[in-house]
Amino acid sequence: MIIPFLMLQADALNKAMATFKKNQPIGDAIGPMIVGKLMLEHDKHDIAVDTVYAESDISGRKAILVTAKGPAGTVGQPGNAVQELINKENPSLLIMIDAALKLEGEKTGEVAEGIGAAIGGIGVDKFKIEEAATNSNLPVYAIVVKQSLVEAISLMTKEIAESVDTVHNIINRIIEERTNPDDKIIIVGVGNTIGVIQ
Amino acid sequence: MSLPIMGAPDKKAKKLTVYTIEECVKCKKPDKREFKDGDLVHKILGKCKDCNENIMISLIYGEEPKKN
Ligand SMILES: [Zn+2]
Repeated sequence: MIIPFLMLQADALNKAMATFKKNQPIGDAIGPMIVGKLMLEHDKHDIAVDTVYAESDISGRKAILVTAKGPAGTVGQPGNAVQELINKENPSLLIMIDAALKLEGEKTGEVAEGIGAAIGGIGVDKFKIEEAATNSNLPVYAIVVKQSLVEAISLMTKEIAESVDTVHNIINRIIEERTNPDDKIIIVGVGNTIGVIQ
Repeated sequence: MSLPIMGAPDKKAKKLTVYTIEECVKCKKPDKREFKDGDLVHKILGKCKDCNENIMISLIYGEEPKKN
């Protein structure tokens, strides 16, 4: 009974090869795309392997933007990067943006927000971020764009791509509601940055 | 089993066409065309004819081709 499940994944991975070969963004690239757009025209600095950060101003707050370094197909090391930035900058808010698995029947590209570290993988990055956030009593907000496992590794669809502005509005709202002017905020775009530059 | 039920690969799944959306960072007028090799999200392509600001690729995505 597990065969259809494996076949679906194998099929998706097979199709993903063409997408990766042409350097086209995949569904999982939505996090780096949203944060990458905020990073445009700001100086980028390396902070961990394949990971960059930039400083920007959002509603009078100092925003530290973190994401994997595009346009190569990499997820970077958000765990190490965020851990270092939390210890160095002592921010008052952490916002994480990622693709998240939708439930059967849920719409692709739907945006949801909540509390906690939005990051997948084997758990190393999640552990590092949660540990650093807990130690410095830092609230963590998550904004996720829903998609299926197959969509996350396949060519980005229109529904997912068009969530960028919605997420930017949510980021602005959270920042205005939860922080004061001159506060420091870390915003992390989690995911594979294939086909996206900052 | 608690695995999500995803079903078998859809043999009839439609082939997606890849589109690139270019827009001027100032006048935001979007221009949709088919994807060309070398296109990257947030790549600067040139200057806008109307306001001389940068034209940037804002989105790249796959969509079912429209039937006329
Ligand atoms: Zn213009």
